[in-house]
Amino acid sequence: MKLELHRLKVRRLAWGSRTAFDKGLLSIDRSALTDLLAKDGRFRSVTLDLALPGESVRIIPVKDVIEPRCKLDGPGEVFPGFIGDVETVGEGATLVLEGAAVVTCGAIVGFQEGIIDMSGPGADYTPFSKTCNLVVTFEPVDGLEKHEYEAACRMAGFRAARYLADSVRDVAAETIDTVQWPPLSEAMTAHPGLPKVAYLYMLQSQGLLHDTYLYGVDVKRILPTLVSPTEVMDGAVVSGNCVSACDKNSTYAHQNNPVIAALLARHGREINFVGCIVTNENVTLADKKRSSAAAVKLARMLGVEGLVISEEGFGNPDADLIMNCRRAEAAGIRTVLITDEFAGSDGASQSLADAAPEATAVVSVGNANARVVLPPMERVIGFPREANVIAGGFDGSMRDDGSIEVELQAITGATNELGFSRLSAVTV
Amino acid sequence: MGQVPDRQGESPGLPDRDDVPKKGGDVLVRNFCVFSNNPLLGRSPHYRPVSSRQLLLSVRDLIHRGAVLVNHPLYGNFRPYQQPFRTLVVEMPDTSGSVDFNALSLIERALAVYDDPGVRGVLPGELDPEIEADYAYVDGELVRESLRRCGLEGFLSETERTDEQGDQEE
Repeated sequence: MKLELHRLKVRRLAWGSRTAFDKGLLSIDRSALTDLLAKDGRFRSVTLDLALPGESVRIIPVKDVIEPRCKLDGPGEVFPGFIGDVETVGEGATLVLEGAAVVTCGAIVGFQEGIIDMSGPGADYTPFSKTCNLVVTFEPVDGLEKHEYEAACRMAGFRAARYLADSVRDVAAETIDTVQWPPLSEAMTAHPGLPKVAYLYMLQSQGLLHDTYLYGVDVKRILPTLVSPTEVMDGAVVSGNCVSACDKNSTYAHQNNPVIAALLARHGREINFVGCIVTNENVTLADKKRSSAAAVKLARMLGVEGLVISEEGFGNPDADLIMNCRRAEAAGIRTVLITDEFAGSDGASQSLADAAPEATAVVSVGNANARVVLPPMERVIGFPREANVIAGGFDGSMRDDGSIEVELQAITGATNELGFSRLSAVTV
Repeated sequence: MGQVPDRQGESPGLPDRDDVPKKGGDVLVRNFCVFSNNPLLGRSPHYRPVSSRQLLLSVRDLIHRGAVLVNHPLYGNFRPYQQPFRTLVVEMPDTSGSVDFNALSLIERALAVYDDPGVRGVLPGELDPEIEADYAYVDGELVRESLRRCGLEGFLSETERTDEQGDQEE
């Protein structure tokens, strides 16, 4: 499988009479896109706003962030199962509007969260303060059921992202990245002497506002399966979750998965990267056993010596993470785990809800209980609510001067467990 | 709560129960029930308007007597000071007397989260009613699959119960 990523670098957004790209400026036909999204009868209103890096803007509550992409060539369309058909993706050419993002906002439930500040101290904790954001806010028709509201927001985000890229598909790419993914018959014998490594890609699948989709299939319904990195880049994996926004994988994070990027960068030099095993994080304990057993079975069938495992979320998924680690290690496969921590605001509490002596190589992406004060912003996009009911907020979050004190948990992508974040460690 | 629930009234159907943990032995009739402080599960004989911590303790005690957990006690990406509700699907003890140490470990770890000295768990009735209703709804949705596997989905209603079935406890 060969995928070309044709990139245009977006540096500014503006409203225009037509959607077009010129020298870093992405002009957006506001009325045309509004009309496109408003065709979904589940919305009473659709509002488009722009939020640019450095502006005094807060976006809340964020449901998803999506990078604008569309297929230029090759089978299928981006976000398969939602846009276009269910054809397998990951081959041909895909246009990427790098630096731009579609941010969706909807008040599906009252306690919703997910904050993006475009400036100030909060901006330092979210990668989406650095993207040029088209924010789409949806009001539902009266009585719309919550699953339907969530699904409508999700679909609209994909439509908007695909619309932006498709509208400028005739513009010549500034750069082209090529990813060549070999068949297993070649991969198994490639790079003799280098250790075979796979990626175990754990995905939220607990239920409403905690779900992920693979080719349009609710991931809680799958058995672990093998996908190529190029399929992920084409949007085969998309987000349907946002609760506790710090460590949820937005669709944007899937499209730009840093774990996959790092494994590809080391492929052929330090390791032989042989594939991504997608698995779930269900609530029922029998599902956990089944999925963990099947995922590690796939790793054994691939004959890998190493497995990089990324978690999504905390609490219940900690059990999946540790189960996957123990099973793989028992099978002679060395593991590296990537997780965040909920270690209390002082960092002194136990970080995970599960642990094992086999987990000897763990990458922490940060403590989601750490607190930050977010000053008032001049403009708020979305559905501003009292911070006390934000996940990551707490009694007394809202201060008299309008600033709010929240845990990083409330900030979109602050402790993303793919490493798609702005936190890092330094030696002191 | 504290007292061991009555084992009667726990058979609202026998669907595909092969898809839940097995206790072993020749179990001809498996006996599932749902413990919850979520009013949307108020039709369960084991609904109690207690704290989530108390609910976990009750089920922990049952596990010591041979009960098996069906769902993970820390489902949902909420902290104890955010989500007032917990719902646990349990296979009730039989006469084998064996203890599921995996389930015991899971629920003890869950209790440790609730017992963190820096955490004060939110109680049912403490939040704005509209917000609390949303928490109740999402709680039900997150355990719906576990309920369905055990034939207990019928206990999950769209609206909170209005009667006073079940004991009011401190």
